[in-house]
Formats: sequence, C-alpha cells, structure tokens
Amino acid sequence: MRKISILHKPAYAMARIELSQGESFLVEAGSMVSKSAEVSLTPQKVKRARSGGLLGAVKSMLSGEFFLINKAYSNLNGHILVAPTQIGDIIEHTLKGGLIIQSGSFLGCDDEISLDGEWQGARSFFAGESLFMMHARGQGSVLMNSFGAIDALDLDGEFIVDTGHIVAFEPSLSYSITKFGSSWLGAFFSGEGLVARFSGKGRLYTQSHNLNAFGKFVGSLLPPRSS
Amino acid sequence: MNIEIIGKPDFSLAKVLLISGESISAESGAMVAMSSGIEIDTGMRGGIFEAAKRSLLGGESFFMNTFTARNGGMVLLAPGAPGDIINLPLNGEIFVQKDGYLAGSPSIKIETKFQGLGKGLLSGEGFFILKCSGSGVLLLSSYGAIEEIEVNGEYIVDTGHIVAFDSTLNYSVEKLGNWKATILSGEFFVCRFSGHGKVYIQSRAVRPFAHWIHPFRRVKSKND
Repeated sequence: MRKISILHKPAYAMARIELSQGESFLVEAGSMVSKSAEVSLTPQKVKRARSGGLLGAVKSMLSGEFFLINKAYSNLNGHILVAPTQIGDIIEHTLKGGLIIQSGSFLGCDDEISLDGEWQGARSFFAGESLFMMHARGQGSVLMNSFGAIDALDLDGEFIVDTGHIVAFEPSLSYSITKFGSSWLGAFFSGEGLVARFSGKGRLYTQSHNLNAFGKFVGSLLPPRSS
Repeated sequence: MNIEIIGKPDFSLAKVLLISGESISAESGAMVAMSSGIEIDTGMRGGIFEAAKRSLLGGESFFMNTFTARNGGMVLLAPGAPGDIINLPLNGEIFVQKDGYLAGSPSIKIETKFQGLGKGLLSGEGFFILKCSGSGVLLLSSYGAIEEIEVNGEYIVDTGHIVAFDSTLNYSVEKLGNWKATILSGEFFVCRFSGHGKVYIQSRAVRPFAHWIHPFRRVKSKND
C-alpha cells in the first residue's frame, strides 16, 4: 500500500514514498534524490504535444504546450525519495475535488490524479509569476513544497496574498490580481506590488518566503556575470 | 571524547568535549569556538604531496587543524553551508564525497582517490573522492539533512545527493534510463550502488541551488 512520510521537516524536508508491487506515483521532473532499483522513472507529458518524437517533445516543452513529470512505478516493493531544489517544507494535501498549484510548488501526487497545466491568463503574467498553474483533480494525495514554512488557511470571505507567497488553493476560491493599497503610486513604493485578492470558501496554502525576492537579494550581492 | 551535535538537521554544530591529551582534526575554517587551553597545530595531513592532492583534486582544504586539549576542553565545529552533521565512528573504511569531510580523529587516514574518467565526467561531482580509513571518530557534513540508507542489493542515488558510502559497496555512474528518458526526466546521471552496506544521502544538493541563483546576477556592462 502506497505510504508517504515526510522526513526532516521543516527546512530540509524530503518525502519518502513507499510503493508496493505494481503501484505508481507521479513526481516532479528533477526531484528524485534516490530510489530502489525496483522503481522505474518514466517521463510523462502533462498536456498534449503537437508533434511526436524527441525533438517534437523538446520543442513543445520549450514552447510551453506541455510539461513533463516523472511516473515512478514499482516492479516489486520499493521506495523513492524526492526533494525540491530550495530550502523549505513539504506538505501533503488530500484532494477534495481539486487544487490549483503554483507550478514551482508541485512535488508529486498519486497516479490516479489528473493534472493539467492551466493558463492563468494575463493576470499572472502581470503579477510576475509563472504563467501556468497546475490543476489537480480527482482523489488522492498531492505533495507540495514551499520556500520557507508553509501555512494552511481555511478561508471564508476575502483575503489578500502577495503573489510570490501563493503555494496552492482550492478551485472553490476565486481570485483577482489587484494593486496593493488604493493608489498605483502606493503599490509601487510599498514594495508589495501586485497582490491576489481571494474570495469564497476553501483552503489556501501560503509560504513564508518569496523565492524571487530572495534571488534578487542574493543576486544583487554577487559579482556581475558575463552573459 | 564526547561529541554532541546540536541544531540538527538545519544548522548543525558539533560540540566536541576533549579530555586531557585527546585531539581532533578538522577542515580549516570549521572551528566556531573553543576553550582557551586548546593547542592548535596547523599542518598538511599526510605530508605536502597528499595535502596538495587533497586540496587541488579533492576540493578539501590544503591545511587541517588539529586541536589538542592538554587539560581538557571543548571545540565547536560547523561546516560552511547550513545543514546536517553526522557522527560515524569509523572502524574500517568509507568513501566520502569531496565536500563531506568535517572532522575526525587524527589517526584517521584521508586519501584522495581517482574515481575513474567515466565516473568523474558523468557524475558532475569531480574525478576524485576521499577515502577515509582507520578507527576513530569521523564527522561528516552536508547541505541538507542526512538520511542513512541500508543497501542490500541495488540502489540508485542522484549523483549530487551522495554524502558518503561504505567501501563494501560497488558503484557505477550511469544514465537514468534510455537517452530520451534521461533528457526528459531531468535526472540525467545517477549512481547505481550494489552489494551490502550503507549510503548516506543529503536531502538537498548545492549545485542546483547555485544554478538557480546564477540568472539573478547582474549582467556585466562595459563600464565594469
């Protein structure tokens, strides 16, 4: 029986997924730390590619028509360990219908779950965040990673989140991208920029730190690169 | 000698309590604090040739500090990156990834071993690995938390996540699957261990982090 345990929480969290013979689990590309020899990893497409073959797959990947995740399949009893690149926590969410996940926060999910890359439209583009979110539907568990600590909020009403701190939310919540405060000048100088205004009833996951802000902070301290 | 590791696994720090006459060697720069009565001997372990090999090829420090307590005392040691420390009492030999050695008994021999051209090229982790042998204490450090895996048969580890492994294990560096799977899976090269023994893995790898931060650097302009 598939069993998930999350080790070394919270800063250096790593997920261990034990699989019985014939079971499978989907994991984010590049997230594998180690695995039993009995577990095989096969790339899977999320969204359909237009053309076949390796070149077609790479082309489509670059053009954003689909993205790849790996399917871990166990021939005998085995396990796989997965971890994100960045420091931070991992959380397991049991799907009750669906979940919309910021693409960098997706770490893995049960194979029975269907995944779609979902275009978030111009609003996410202007918010400087990823253009795609992953929409998970069905029954089972989803693993998400966060930059920093992760916080689960059960909303009922309106709530405002900095776009860089969104990990995932249930589709029962609707959101719009709006400026922080009442004036554009204030939004610009407040350092908050654009925020997401959520409304409705459902679960929202946020992360304590903003990855892009951290990258800019450290990057500005490093010597310039030649290209 | 009594070793206590605090702050595990995120910000580990080793508190080494020495009784009179005992000593511990550590990678240069690892000392955080120490009692005032401790003698420090900075030297090239194994002579100049071995020290040069270790630093040029193995990526470890050229000099090692040996701390000796004449009347007892304490030395606090920590690695450069935030992460875990494990205390592995050694009796025999173990292979350690080049950044993994933090400290150990002065009697432990550290050699730089050539992994072979293929393994070095494919792993992305360099051509050399440290071989620690003898008996005594050995402190290893990592970027991320350390997980101990008992291998009985075959086991696969991403090359960037290896901290150390028993010398009883055989290993080879290979692609994850066929070429298409290797390119598309994003995993590239992995290490396949076989036999009986332990592998110590780390939950994060420093290289992907460094690659991630690179684009955030300012681009050099003509005036720089």
